[in-house]
Amino acid sequence: MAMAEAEAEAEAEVPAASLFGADCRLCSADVLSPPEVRARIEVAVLNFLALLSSPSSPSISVLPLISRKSTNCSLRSGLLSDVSSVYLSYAFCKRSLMRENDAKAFVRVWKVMEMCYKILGEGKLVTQRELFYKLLSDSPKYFSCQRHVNQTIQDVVSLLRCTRQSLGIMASSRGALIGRLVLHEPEEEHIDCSILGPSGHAITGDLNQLSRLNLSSDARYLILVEKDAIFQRLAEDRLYNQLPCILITAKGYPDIATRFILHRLSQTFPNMPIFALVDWNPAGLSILCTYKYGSISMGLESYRYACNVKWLGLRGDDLQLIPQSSFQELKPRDLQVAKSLLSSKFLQDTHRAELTRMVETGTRAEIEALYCHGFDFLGKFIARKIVQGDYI
Amino acid sequence: MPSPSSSSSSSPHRKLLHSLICWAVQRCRMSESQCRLAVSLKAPSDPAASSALRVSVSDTGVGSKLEEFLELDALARETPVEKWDGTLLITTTGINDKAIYHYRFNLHENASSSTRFSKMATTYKNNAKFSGTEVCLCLANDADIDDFILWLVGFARKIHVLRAANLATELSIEQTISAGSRNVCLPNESDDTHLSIATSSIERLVSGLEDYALSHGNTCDKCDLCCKNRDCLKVGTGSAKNSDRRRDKGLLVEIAIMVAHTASDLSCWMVNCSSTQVLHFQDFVPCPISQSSFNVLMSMDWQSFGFKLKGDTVQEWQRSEPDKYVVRKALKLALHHLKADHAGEFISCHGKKILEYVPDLAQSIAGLISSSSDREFRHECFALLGLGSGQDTSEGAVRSCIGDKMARIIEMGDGKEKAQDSTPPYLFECEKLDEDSPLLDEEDDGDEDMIFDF
Repeated sequence: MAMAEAEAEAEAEVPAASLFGADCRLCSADVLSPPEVRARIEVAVLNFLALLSSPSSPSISVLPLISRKSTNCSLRSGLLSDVSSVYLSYAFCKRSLMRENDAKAFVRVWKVMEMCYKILGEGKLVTQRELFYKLLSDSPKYFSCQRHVNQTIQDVVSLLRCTRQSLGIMASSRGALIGRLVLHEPEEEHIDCSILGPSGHAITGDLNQLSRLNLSSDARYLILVEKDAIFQRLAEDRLYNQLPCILITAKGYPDIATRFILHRLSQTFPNMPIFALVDWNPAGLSILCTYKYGSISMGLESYRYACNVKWLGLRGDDLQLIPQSSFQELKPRDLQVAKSLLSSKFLQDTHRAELTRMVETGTRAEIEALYCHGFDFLGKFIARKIVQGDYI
Repeated sequence: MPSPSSSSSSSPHRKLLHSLICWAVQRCRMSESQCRLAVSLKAPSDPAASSALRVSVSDTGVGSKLEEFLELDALARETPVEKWDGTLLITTTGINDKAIYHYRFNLHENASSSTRFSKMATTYKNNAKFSGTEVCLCLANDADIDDFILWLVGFARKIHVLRAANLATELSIEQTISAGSRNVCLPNESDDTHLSIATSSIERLVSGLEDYALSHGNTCDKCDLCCKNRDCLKVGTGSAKNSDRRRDKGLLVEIAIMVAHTASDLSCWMVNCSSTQVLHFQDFVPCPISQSSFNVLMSMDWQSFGFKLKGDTVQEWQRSEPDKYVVRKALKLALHHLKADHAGEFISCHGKKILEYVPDLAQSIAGLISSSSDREFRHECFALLGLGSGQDTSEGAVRSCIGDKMARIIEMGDGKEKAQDSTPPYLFECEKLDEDSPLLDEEDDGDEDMIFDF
């Protein structure tokens, strides 16, 4: 009796979490060509003018934007793969000219749409930074900082439901990779990433260019590194010659381009597990989760690039290798991040336990703490952990 | 706000004159025929002689029953004899009376005294038909007298603001030879030509208020510059009554609001009337505003009409308190009338803020349209805007068109936002809009997405 009930219950839960069930509710930003995006913008203008000039009830229409809040975010788990991602559903927020503290943001959306329409018309691709300077000089009243521009771009993405790159805007990437990988862009030279200097190969922000790359590799592992300093240490030591791997870093919080190339690598080489090397603190875990599940702020497109990332270090028993003096106090900001992660829907139990341990001890530790065992310790440490399967 | 001069506005002279004039006005109103109210002030011709001012208040209204003068008892008792000896010489006759009666009141004497009230010689009318009253008294000609005269002139002028039907007011002041003599005859004739018997009291008030404004609050003769710009004056009126309520027995409140938008060539407004003035009347006589009415004024939602209230204090209150609901209703009506009659001029403060964004928004959309190489798209836009072929479709024209439409929508909907429950139209169709949470420009809200991509 109990068995049947449990089964029935489990069955009822499947549609909610399964890829099939989730997909009806999943709201996605389309990858569109410039003419298609311009057409969407034109429809927006025509709708606006039609409502403005309506003979019976003229009005200034309100912009419906897909809500990029955790309340509109859900987790979808793959049925056939082990990749889960966060996605946004069809809940909306609105921007209205008639609300005093929203009016500026409303005008900003139109200004960015106007700019994108022109950029796409000229067949260009600009960075967010370049766009900021253009808007700053044209409309300083509305755009006084980069954050305004980035936020508004996401508003336009939510409004028109097309990816940021489709709008003609890209974000310059801070990512770099190095290791047993050969990149080949059609009609360009091959790039052997194993013979590069310790700063590796810079990852371009242009997703189209990244998608055109041919990838070939004999590596067995993909190692994600949180910090540039660690990346360079491992690159200098040529870890990838001792351990067949590819090293990738976004030098902090992962940008879309880095996640894009990581995803392409994981698709091209499905047997290559992905290991993350992050500091033992809430920010490090949060970076790992972004690679693993995606982000809410770019939830309409980032779900595509979720990967099955495993937490190699710094965690668990590794902490016994570190002297007590290397542990630092958790700052208020760390606690904020921890709180947000703990209340999220996607955090897996093993990760949750690590995070709880951080919060309960009130401590954190950086990977560099391992250098107390010598500067060449890190490489050996990584290799041993992989061989022993010590990752979650 | 009414700002009494520095000397006490509750001076006995003023209270006395206020009461005498108030009763004279009521007698005129009760008469229902053309009446005249005349106030005169005479200083002795010989400055060395006794320093007494002869004051007389006379009217051609109904005859007086004398009861009202007894109300001056309290005032007489608190007034030092040097200021006023408590004596009133009253002459009165009713329309049907055969004689004119003369009386002498001495309010400083108490009720039992025989010299308190005496009837004097009667004059027979010999079948002539008229009515009226004259009250004469003497006031001390002391140091405060100039302030008092100033107040009296202002008071008489304010009465004249009402342009009460069937009432002509006259004020004459004669001072000593050295101070000169003034005949302040309030100009009636020319002003009243457009006011007929049928003109309502509120329309008369508007007319009087206009002249009051054009003479800078009666501080000068009509200002030529302001007269030229009298079209800049905007008026709203409202009236309300509570004839059903037993308490106030048919209270009628009429309010007129007059606004002058100051422009650069109306600099004399700024100089002379830089603040708002409130003229308050009760029973057609100017009097200080009551506390409750003042509270109504202060608590009005001026912002919905584009006004910002500057705090000010009122130094004296009237004792009686008219029904504040009636006052509030009348004031609301007056403000709405003002707004309705002058479309676009009294936009609420909120509306004005929104309107500031219209030019930039219109510019953005017009720029987008003009930059398009798609002729069909551009023409569809022009068509929607009502810019047909042959009309100017330059970017500037499109921008103006869009801007005008937006401004009109904002003006029409101004002040009605709270009333509207209907959902606003959305640019694109969508289901399940989260009505309560618009996206605000927040700081990072502590998700794991703390840092934005570059």
